[in-house]
Formats: sequence, C-alpha cells, structure tokens
Amino acid sequence: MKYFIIPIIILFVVVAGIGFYMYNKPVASLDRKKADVSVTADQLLADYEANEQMANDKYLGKVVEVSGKVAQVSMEEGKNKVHFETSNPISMVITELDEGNSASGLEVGEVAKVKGMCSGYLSDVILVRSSVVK
Amino acid sequence: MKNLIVIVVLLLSAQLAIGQKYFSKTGKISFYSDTPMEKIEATNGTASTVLDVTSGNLEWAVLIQGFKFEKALMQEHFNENYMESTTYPKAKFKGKIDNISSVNVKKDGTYNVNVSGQMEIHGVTKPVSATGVITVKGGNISANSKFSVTVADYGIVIPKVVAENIAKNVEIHVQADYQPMPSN
Repeated sequence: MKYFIIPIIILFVVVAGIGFYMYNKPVASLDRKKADVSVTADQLLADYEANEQMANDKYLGKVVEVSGKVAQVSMEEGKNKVHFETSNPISMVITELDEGNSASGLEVGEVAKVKGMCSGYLSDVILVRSSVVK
Repeated sequence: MKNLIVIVVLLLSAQLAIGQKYFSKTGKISFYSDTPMEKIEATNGTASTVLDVTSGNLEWAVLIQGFKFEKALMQEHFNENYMESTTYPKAKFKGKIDNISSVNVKKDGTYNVNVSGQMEIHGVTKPVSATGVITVKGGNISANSKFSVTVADYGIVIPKVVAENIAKNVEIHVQADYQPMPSN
C-alpha cells in the first residue's frame, strides 16, 4: 500500500504544476503563428464597410496578415501603431504592435505587411497583438 | 438688401450652431477587478471617441477583443464566456457632458465635469453617470474619468466556480487625448 503513496504524490504535484502553469500562462505572442487569412488593407476595410457582420465572421478573432501602403507610424505611451491607407480617405486599417515589437523603421508611403489579431471595426479596422512581417 | 442681411445672419448662425468636434482613435480604457482571491486588470488602447464641445455630446466605442490581459486564460474566459465578444464585439457609450458650458476650450485649465448617458455592454443598454476631468492645454483637450460598473447589470454571468475571483463591481478608467476634427 505504502508504495503507491510516492507515485500519487508525484502525480499530484505534476497535475498541480500543470494547473498552475496553465492558469498563469501569459498571452502568447502571435509572432510564430501562421496567419489565418491574408488580405490587402483596402479589401479588409471594404469588406467591413460592405457588411460588418459578414466581415466579423471572416476576420474577427482571427490572425490576419494585412498588406498595404503605410499612412502613419506612431508611438503613444510605449505602444507602436502602424496605420495603413485605404481608398477611403477617412478610414484606415490600424495595427497596434505587441510590446517589444518595433515598427522596424517603416516609412510613410512604404508598402508593408503586418500580422495581428483582428479585433473588429469602429471607424477603422483595428488589429491588435501585431508585428511587422519582414 | 434686407434679404441679403437675413441670408448672411442665417449663414453666420448656422456656422455657430455647428459644434466644434474633437476626436481620438487611441482612447484608453482600463478595468480593474479586485477581490481577496485575485486582482484582474485589462487595458485597451484603441477606443474611439468623439466630443462636441458646443453641445457636450460625447460618444465612446471600444472593441472587446482589443482588451489585453496578462494571463491567457483570463483573456480567453473574458472573451468567450463572460463578454461573448464574438456575438457582442463592441461596448459603446452615448451621452453628454451635462455641464459643458462650464468648459472653456480657449482657456487652459482643468474642468470638473458630469457625464451622463447610455452604456451598452454585452448587448445590454443601461443609463450611467460619472464625473470626470477635462484638461485644456494649448488648444488641446484631454479627458479622464473613473467610474464603476456592476457586472451583473449587463447580463454578464460569472460561474459560481470563479465568483470569488471577480468583483461584482468593476472599476473602469477612461482617458483620451483629443484632437480637433478637421472641419470640411
């Protein structure tokens, strides 16, 4: 009987350890995750402008790789943002870069690719947890 | 001649009636839930807000999936179980600054304001009111406010298993640096 005790204690510690790890696991970076869908900034915005519900079905919560012309690169409170221009002069695709990800010297007017998670559409389409795709 | 004067006066008053609008696409919203069991905190830096300093009309919109938590499990539960963010991707506020006339955007200073309006979270709309501060500096306006939201009011169901980990009332901080909206 007593020979079971040690393996049971070890099992308990392992399970508790896994539980503790899962509970405290930080939000993973999307750097190594493959994009669920690739789209141009223009198309992404157009899809949302045409039908928000359908665009959400397609993009919301998914890892999206967006390509287009950089309209703006900004840094606010330690958060880097890359804005892509679209054919709509007022609306853009805004990507908020994950902490530790820089805008890699992107210049306005340059064509670039950013991969991030689509959080939806307000007056612009917004991606979070993003990184510049080299 | 009299008609011309009338037309000019009408045009001028129309100009005055059009409010001066300010906006931000980088509004920051953070919420805090503090219980003896756990402290939960999340921030979103991509909220959209528009303020009309003439009428006091104020609007905020934020994407739920833009809230960042430290722990993956927390972020997952928040989106999938509590906020059901695939069904309700946004939270919105539409209201006004009740005492906007006390804010002078041409004079640097801090102004205490009262805000009231309708808050929509998780598909449920409720009236809310809060106090805040508007700071005017060099033609720029920034605003911040702190208020509390009762989770259950918005149909958000917290399972009994984690009920002790999440506060019944969650504290929300809201902050924005506004820019004037370009007038057409």
